[in-house]
Amino acid sequence: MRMSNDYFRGVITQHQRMVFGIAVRLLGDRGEAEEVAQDVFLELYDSMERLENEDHVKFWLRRVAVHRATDALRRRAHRPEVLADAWDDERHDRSEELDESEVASRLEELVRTLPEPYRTAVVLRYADEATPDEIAAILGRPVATVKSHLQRGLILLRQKADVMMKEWAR
Amino acid sequence: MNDFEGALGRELDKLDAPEGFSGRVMERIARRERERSRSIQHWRLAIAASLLVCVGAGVTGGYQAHQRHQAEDARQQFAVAMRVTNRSFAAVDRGLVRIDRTNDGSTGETQ
Repeated sequence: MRMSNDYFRGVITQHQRMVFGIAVRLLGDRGEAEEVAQDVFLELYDSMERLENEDHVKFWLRRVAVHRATDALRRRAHRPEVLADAWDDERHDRSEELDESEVASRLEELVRTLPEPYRTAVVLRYADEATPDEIAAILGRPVATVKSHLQRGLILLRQKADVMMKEWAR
Repeated sequence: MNDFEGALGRELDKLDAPEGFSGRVMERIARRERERSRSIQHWRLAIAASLLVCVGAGVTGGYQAHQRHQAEDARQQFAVAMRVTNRSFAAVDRGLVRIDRTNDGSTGETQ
């Protein structure tokens, strides 16, 4: 499936939202997410010959995006962390200005605070609209485990959202 | 939970990639291809140089072997020539001795 640069640019345009979306939601940093997303497409360029059709390309991109973002998170865990603190400060500063109508828009930020593996499962299910079966295939985990992670992730998110709403209500 | 899931699905809409993303990916691909091409050229040059050295060493080795072979042939030919010469000298010597003896005998008879 080796093809012209124009065709490959079209493939990037078609899937960049998905790949970048997965990376930025798992990493919480747009710069780092872009770097990971670029790496994923570079890897795709080398792997195009082995991919059979559009569905295969999409599955491959989802899987590699999740894995590369997870690798970046692991690398980040081994170096001094500043992003999470910076994000927390930012959120704290802005929380004074929030009203209830903005609660829904804060869900995305709450997703970033979810621990792994709940975050990956929730991002793939609700941001990328992947089915539990697809998520299980992407992550290489049993479907039952994925469903359990989704359920647990939703409960945690709900709890966090309730706490946030109570804080704003004060 | 269903309302919450619905809100989550609505709010976690896909994020747009940064402006110019595909262009930057294509630039990285082009840069990497150029580097690969340069690397392949370097390898080709290195392989060509190695082959050249091998061929040179082979030619030099072959020439030296040829020279050694010629020297050996010359040595053997010289040895054969020396043996032939030696035999010739020996035959001449024997002939001279015979002539001397003949001459000595005829002189004695005359006296």
